[in-house]
Amino acid sequence: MISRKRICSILMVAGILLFLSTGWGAAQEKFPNRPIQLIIPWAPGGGGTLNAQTLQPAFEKALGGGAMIVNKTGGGGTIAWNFVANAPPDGYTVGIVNPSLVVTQYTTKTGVNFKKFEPIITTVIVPAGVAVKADSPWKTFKEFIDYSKANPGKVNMANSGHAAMYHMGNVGIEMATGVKFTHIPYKGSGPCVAALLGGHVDGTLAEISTLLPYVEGGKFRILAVSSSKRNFAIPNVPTFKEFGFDLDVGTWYGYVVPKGTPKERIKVLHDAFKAAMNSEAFKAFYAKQGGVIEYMGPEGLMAYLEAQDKQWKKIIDFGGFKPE
Amino acid sequence: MDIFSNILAGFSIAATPLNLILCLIGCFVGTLIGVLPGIGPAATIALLLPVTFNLPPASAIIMLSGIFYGAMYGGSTTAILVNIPGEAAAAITCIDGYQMARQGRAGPALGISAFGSFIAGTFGVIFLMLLAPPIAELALKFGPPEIFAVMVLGLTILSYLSSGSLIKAFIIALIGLFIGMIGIDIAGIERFTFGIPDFFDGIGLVPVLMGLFGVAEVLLNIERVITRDIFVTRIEGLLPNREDWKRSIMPISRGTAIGFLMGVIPGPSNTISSFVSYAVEKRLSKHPEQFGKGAIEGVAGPESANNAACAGNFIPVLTLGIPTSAVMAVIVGALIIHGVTPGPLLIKNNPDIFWGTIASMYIGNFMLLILNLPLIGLWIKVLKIPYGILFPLILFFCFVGAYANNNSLVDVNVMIFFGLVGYLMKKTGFEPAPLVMAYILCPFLEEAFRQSLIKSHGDFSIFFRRPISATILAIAFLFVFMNIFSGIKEKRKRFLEKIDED
Repeated sequence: MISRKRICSILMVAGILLFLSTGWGAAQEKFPNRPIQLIIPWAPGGGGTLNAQTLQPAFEKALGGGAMIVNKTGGGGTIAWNFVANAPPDGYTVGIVNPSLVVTQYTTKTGVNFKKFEPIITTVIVPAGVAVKADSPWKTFKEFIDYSKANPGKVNMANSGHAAMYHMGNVGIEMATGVKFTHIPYKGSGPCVAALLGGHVDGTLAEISTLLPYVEGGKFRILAVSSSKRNFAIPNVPTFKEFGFDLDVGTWYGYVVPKGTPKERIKVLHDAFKAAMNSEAFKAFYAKQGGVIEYMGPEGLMAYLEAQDKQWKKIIDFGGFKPE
Repeated sequence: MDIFSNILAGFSIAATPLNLILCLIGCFVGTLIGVLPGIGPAATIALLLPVTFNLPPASAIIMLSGIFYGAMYGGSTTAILVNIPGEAAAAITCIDGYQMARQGRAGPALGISAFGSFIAGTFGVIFLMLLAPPIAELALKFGPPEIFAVMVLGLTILSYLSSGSLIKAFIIALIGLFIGMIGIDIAGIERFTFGIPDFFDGIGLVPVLMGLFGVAEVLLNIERVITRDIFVTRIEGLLPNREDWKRSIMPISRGTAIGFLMGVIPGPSNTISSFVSYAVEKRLSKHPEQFGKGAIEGVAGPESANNAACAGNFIPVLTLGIPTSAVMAVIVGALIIHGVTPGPLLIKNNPDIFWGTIASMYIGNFMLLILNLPLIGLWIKVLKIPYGILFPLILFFCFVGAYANNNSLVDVNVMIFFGLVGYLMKKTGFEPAPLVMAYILCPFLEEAFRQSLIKSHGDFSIFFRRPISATILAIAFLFVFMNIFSGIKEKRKRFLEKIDED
């Protein structure tokens, strides 16, 4: 005889199955039907979090659903990126990526790889600039490079972390111009700025959004920017290209989902991000930061990632960096 | 005077009804998260940032800074009541604050920490008004060699953080240094990470603290149910008495000075300044043997120091746009998102934000005092909750806090591990404070040391050629020398007494 307890439990299991199946059915009908997680690999207050926070209101409105910003720091971004890559490909876990994604492929053993993602969109590119103190003897990039060439290892360049993007960017400058810097690693761009303000280093390479306030305040001089065109915020500053080399070391922010996410969901996310990019709040935010709003769709971002991959691999090989 | 008109303008901004309410909300939320272990001000400010989107920038910053210094008030509450530092800066308050609570003096301990915080916070703000630009310039002079010297000075005070065996304190400090080395070093080499990506940036401070103090305390108390009635029956007075005040007033003033000056230096200055203040009080005290057994100076000094450090923290941010801590990085982000450029021109371009925020901090400190004093009676009632309910609740908050800190389960495991370590340490007579101090200092010590040597191409004289670092190092050596000397004197005295007796 089947006990009453048994019947109860069978009924309960059946109920749960029924609940799950209807839940699944609903999920297929409408996307999104629950909040989307935007996974940020960096600490609150940083450029990536600010990018997501500025997009968030317009993004939610266009999406017709909630978006949660989740900071998951550690491992130079690799923890969050691996988390996103291994998340269920249902469109509910979205990651933000920047050039570090490509760099860490070659400098860590964490298995991060841009090919594990489906790209959605790029939002903005903030070019990098070479900054020195306003009272330093170098008035132009050429003078700075000539001095560095004549005195190998004498110029101290601050970077935002060993083997991180801007360290590699400085190595990229070495590769292109044949100079030799002494690289001093700091934890992030903020401490680099402080070190330069205090005169503890001779120069730094950082995104111009970080540098601009100090240029306006008369403390720093930007000698060159990394973008292919001159930046609207500092139109007098020449580009690397004008000195005869290509080095795209600016910080761009793009969004990705795990490989295998259905195309129609990527499109929903893409359209919402695109609408958010066109919001006044987003444009006004980057107008002050020297950020160039740059739209690339899924294919465009994939092609850009491949180009970035080639550029960074060349620089990393030149510098002799190995995964550690 | 220009400065007075500025201050008046600041108060006219801070005292609008909207800003007063926002300041109150900030202080209240801050107190709350300060009390809850794990959930820190940085995460809370980031979480509440979108709420401020539609507010004017000055109002937003007023509320968000309220959360920060409010948390410093609240952080000591759990440290005193249940031996769990709500914030890292309150770790040192556990030592004497919790002992005071065990002796039924939780009220005076909470009271002096509220008054100390108020006095230090207020004077910190006044210093901030008068001295911000010159102090910011001075802070910039602190390059890697100077920061290294400060960290060395920090290590020399280790011996004051322990009330038991000195040898055990040094052993546990070395273990702390070792834990501080886990992670990727500044040259990109992994150390003791066992390939776990979560350890690349080092072991998280929050889970370590909650494990060593919170979880360990719960484990210990499971054993000693009987001693419980001490708490309930002997609660003497809610506020500090005359004697308490007499003993606390100098520690509060010294703590204010230490906290404010150290708050400007990059690094976890809130925490370090509270440790330094504790050591200074113990060194200067006429009865150092009472430290670790419920000396009110050990609460008054550090609590004042960490609140004054808050004011110091704001200097590099408001005058130069440089964040010296994780919380300040979020404040910088908040400024940027509100279209205000943090940097050398902030005071000039946005005087309303600079002076409004400073004035609001003055008002906020007063609100916090009003808010916290009546709460003391309520907090003490927490101690009357039966252990069977209180301890599972503490564990619950620890777990939630450890996870919420970085949305990571690894942190929860780290907390459990350090809970067991903390339990074993207590059982074997090791104290957690020296471990925490060494562990917090280690990454900064090493980073500054190696940056200095990269810069000097391996020449050690860089530490002695620069006047600031040479002076600080000299003080550190003097400290060690004095310690050894007084140790020898003590031994000799005891030896002679023994001979006399014979």
